[in-house]
Amino acid sequence: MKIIGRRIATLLILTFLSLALLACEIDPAAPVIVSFDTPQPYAAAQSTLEYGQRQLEELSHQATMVGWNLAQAANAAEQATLEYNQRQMMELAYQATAVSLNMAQAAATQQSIANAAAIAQSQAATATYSAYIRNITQTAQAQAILNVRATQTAQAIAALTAIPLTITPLAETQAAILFEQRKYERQSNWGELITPLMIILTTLVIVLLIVGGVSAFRRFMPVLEFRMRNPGENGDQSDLILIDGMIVDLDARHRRLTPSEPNQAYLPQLQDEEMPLVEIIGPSEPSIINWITEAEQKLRADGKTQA
Amino acid sequence: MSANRYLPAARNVAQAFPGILAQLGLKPFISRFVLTETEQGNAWLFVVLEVGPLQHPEDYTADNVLHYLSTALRGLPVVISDSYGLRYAVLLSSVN
Repeated sequence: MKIIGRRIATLLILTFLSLALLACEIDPAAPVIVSFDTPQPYAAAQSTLEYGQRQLEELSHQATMVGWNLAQAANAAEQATLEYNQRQMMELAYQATAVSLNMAQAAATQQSIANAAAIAQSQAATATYSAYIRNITQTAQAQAILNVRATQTAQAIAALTAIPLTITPLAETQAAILFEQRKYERQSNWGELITPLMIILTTLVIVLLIVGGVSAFRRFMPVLEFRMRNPGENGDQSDLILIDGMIVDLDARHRRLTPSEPNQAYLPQLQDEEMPLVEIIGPSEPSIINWITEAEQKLRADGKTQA
Repeated sequence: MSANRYLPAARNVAQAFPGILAQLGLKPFISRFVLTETEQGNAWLFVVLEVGPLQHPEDYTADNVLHYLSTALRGLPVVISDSYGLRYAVLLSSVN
């Protein structure tokens, strides 16, 4: 941007210089023409030169101003670029700072983990060492106990060897053995007595239960059978009482039998008490003729079927 | 020919009939006994029933019922006559 601005300013300056030279040669209003009126070409030239110089200076000033402007623009652009870059730098610095902080934290974390691991390792080593020391101590204690027992055993063996057995310890041992034997015998005798007794009692209880069930069934079965056979008859009547295996109805006298209406269809008309009435009708009766015809047809049909 | 000579047999059948029906589980809705003898010499005893529709008349006309009646009456032929009423026809004589 800066180089381009300078080049543009140079081109503008050169352009204005060439234009100024052309004006000096061609322009009729230039002081050169005046020089015809005044016989002072040097002055004219001088004035021209001065004018040209002024022009040049003015152009130079304008170019300078333009260059300044361009430079300012370039500076402004640069400023913007710089500000942008500065912001970028700040952001990068911030990011770098954040990354650095993260790295620092990570490093601190690693350090703390390493420290914790070291502490744990140290504790484990301490515990291992303590366990080792404890095992050693226990081993030593066990060894000491074994040594003591070996010593006691040796002493006992020595005592038994040196001192002959007297009657008192032997009797004591035998008494203890006898006591144990009697105790065991008592227990076995008690067990031998109890086991069959339990079996007998169990069997007795079962037999009693069966006998009771059977007797109860026998006693109550008539009532149940009566109730089952007459489910609707006892709904509005008093209960029956079982006395000595007999069903007794105490309210029987209050009950009245309600005889149903005699249906003549049930009872054929009887000539006397035993013989039913048989009508004798001749075969010429119209209704009887039909009956006979139908009966004989059926008889013949049945005979054919049976044949 | 007179049907009177079949009267004792007819009375015996009439006397036994309600019991036989009762053995079959049927109520003896018997209204009358009619004895007659045809010109060919067939003596018929008609046992007239009064069975309403509610008493299941088909129970009285089943073949096994007729067979049971005939067997109970010592082999006398028993047929059903169901036109204009329901009745059993027992042939007291031999078939002519």
